Amino acid sequence: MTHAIETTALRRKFWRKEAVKGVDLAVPSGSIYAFLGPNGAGKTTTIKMLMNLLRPSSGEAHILGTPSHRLRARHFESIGYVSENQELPEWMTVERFLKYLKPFYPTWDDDFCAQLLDRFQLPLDRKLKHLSRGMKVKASLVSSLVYHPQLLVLDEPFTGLDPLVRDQLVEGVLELVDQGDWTVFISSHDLQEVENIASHVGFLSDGQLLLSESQEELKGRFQEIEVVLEEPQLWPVDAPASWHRAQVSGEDRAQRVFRFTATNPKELEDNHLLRSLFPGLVDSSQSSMSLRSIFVTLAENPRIGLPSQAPEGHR
Amino acid sequence: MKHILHLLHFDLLRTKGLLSLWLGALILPLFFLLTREPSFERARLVEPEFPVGGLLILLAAFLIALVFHQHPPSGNSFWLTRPIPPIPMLVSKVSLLFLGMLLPAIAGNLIFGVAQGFEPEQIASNLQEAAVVLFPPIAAACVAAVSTRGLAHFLLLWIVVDVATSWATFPVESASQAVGLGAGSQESWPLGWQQFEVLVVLVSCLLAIAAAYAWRNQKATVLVFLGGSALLSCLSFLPALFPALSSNGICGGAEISTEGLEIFQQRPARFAMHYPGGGKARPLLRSLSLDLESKGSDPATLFQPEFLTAQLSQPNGDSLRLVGRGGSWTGSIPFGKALDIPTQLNGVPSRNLQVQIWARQNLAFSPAEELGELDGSLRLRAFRFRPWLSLPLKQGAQVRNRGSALSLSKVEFGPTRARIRLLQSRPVTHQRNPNSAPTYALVHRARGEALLLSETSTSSQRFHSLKYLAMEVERREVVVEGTLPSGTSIGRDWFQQSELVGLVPSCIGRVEVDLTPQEFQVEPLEETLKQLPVYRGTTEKAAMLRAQG
Repeated sequence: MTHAIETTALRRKFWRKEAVKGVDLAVPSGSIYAFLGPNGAGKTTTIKMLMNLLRPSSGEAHILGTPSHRLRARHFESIGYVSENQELPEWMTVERFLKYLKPFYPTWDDDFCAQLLDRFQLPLDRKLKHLSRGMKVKASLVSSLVYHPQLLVLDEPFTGLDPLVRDQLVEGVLELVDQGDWTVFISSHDLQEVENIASHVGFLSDGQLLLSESQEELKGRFQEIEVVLEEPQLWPVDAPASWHRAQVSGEDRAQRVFRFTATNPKELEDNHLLRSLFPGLVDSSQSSMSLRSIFVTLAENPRIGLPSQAPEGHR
Repeated sequence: MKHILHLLHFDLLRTKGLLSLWLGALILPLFFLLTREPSFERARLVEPEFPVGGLLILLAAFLIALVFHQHPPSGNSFWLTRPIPPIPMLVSKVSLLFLGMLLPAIAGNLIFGVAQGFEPEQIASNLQEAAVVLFPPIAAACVAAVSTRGLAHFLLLWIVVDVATSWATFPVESASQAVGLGAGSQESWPLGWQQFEVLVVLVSCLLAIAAAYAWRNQKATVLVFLGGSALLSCLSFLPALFPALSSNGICGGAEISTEGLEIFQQRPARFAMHYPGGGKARPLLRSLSLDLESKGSDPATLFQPEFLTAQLSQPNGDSLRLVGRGGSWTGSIPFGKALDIPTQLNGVPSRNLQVQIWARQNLAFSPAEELGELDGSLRLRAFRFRPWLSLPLKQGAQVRNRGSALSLSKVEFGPTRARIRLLQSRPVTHQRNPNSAPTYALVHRARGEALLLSETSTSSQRFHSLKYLAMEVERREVVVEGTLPSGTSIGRDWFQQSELVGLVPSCIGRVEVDLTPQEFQVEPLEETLKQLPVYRGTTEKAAMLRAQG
């Protein structure tokens, strides 16, 4: 499988602060890749480097086979970029904005443009500065979709949007992906929406990419385990490192029911490990986690997500 | 090209409001100036320089900021992730500024100059002067606009860059003067030093903003601009280091006419060399005089024995510029402060010395004994005076001619003296370039006689000022006086029947003569002077010559 985006040890320093710390990213062509991470994780910095808006301090990135620092105007004929921070020509009306861009795209599709305008219900005669934030994102999205880019990069497109607009955008993106072999790279906090559309997920924390895999694999790896015990007991001190249990106040006390996250499904193939750690085990169940739960778990314990982390066994 | 026009179209849409304001600020004062009756008294009450010039320069700055800020070369602007090539983007912006801002300013200047009857030479020199004033702040504004995002930052950086630009060339200029190259290079550089500085600033500006758009790096823009300015300033050394690059004139808009050249051909420049003594000593040039033949009594060929500029230069770049003023009809410039040659020429090798002389009439050049052997070539540039106004000698008479409105406010005649007070408006470049400063003469056409008048006092009042646009016109009150030689008297009738003629010198030609000692005739100064044209009552020397004759 070829990669629409590929980075190798990508780093970016702002003075002494290292915002991106050696990210190795591979976004398969045709995928919808959700680039997740808490605020300040370095998502936007990474995307800016991908779009050649920032120079990497070291490492390299390839976009559709072209080194990002060599991206020229013509390369953007097949790349769409929508960012919440993008400075749009606010004095233009939507119609004028589209007219402004049209001559630069050989693949500009007028019929498709009309469809998108109709779908997103954009007022053509209104200036961009008079549009709501959601409308601006829609206008930006329309202008980035209408020429059928091979790669669509969306940087926090859903932030601050009401659910209706969010649904419209998600539907729009999904519909597009269905129409062709598009790659969508989307960074977002809106995990629920991303979960519905993303085929692949990457999680960035403090400038480091903690995981990057398909959503299917991720959900298969992250399991929520619930064990019910006959008698209350303390959390086993020799629980594997791949297990994560949220603690409310930090204090540990004996419980009859434990819920925790396990990231190595092989450990749970039989109940041997559970029985050895929880001698009074009465019942156990496991269920796949939502992306949101995985996100929270990773935010609490970033090390747990490392795919290469082998189960450490009993301690 | 298609993309440039497309981008230009949208930039024009964006800036149409400010452009309209700019054009309005340009046209209204122009209309006002063209329709207003010149009046020295009124000019004292109106000082429109700041309102017009300041408004124009501010509008220009805001316009530049608006043009560049909507598509900054870096940051998170939408166009950076679109297939919009940076070069057409930059070209469209520069084109907009040129077509929408500078071209109307130039056109306005031309219209004003033509309507006022200015000569092309005057209009050209005014444009040059306007460029000197207008372009550096515009270039600084472009650099500041490219390097910033917000208006406040832009204004701050604009001031900083503007100040820094004027200092950027200073070290180089100082250095060149310190090593003795500066003065020569400034005068001999074809564009003139000020124009050269403007060119440097403009080229640096274009380099800087082109670099910003090409590299998408705002931070380096200011550094490129200042560095480029300083680096290009080093070019000022070239004329001094390579004399072949030098021009031979300091008169802007020089005019070489066949007629002027014929004057020289009919009667070549005549030199008189005076030796300090006889014997076998190698001849040393003590003084050098030159006279030019005039054409009868036509006032157009009156000469003004007032000004001389000479430049001694050698192939190795050593040069010395000599300026003499005053003088007399004898054809020799008296030694004075301006011609302190012995001191300045000490240690200057004399072989292959090249002498350049610019003068108006009856050139007199007196290098000192220490000059040594003169072995080289002499280049001469002469000026022809053309009448630019003819004013009846009646008090209150007004004339508008060739770009200057002039009126007589007071005329005083004595038996040997005439004192005339004039109110005049004209481009200030005339007073800055001594080669083109006008002079006056009282001409009695019937008798073919003339009395040269010289300015004895001048008070000026800025009258119309479009300093930052293109044109600056100054209203002046000039007192010209002429005195007859002692012992002569023309009479009051002579004055009353004469007319005041304004004369503008223009460069008429250049002669190059090999200067080797044997080619020069050594003849008494008096012999030379006898051949000079004599106008009755022109100067004291004329009377002296008549007495000698």
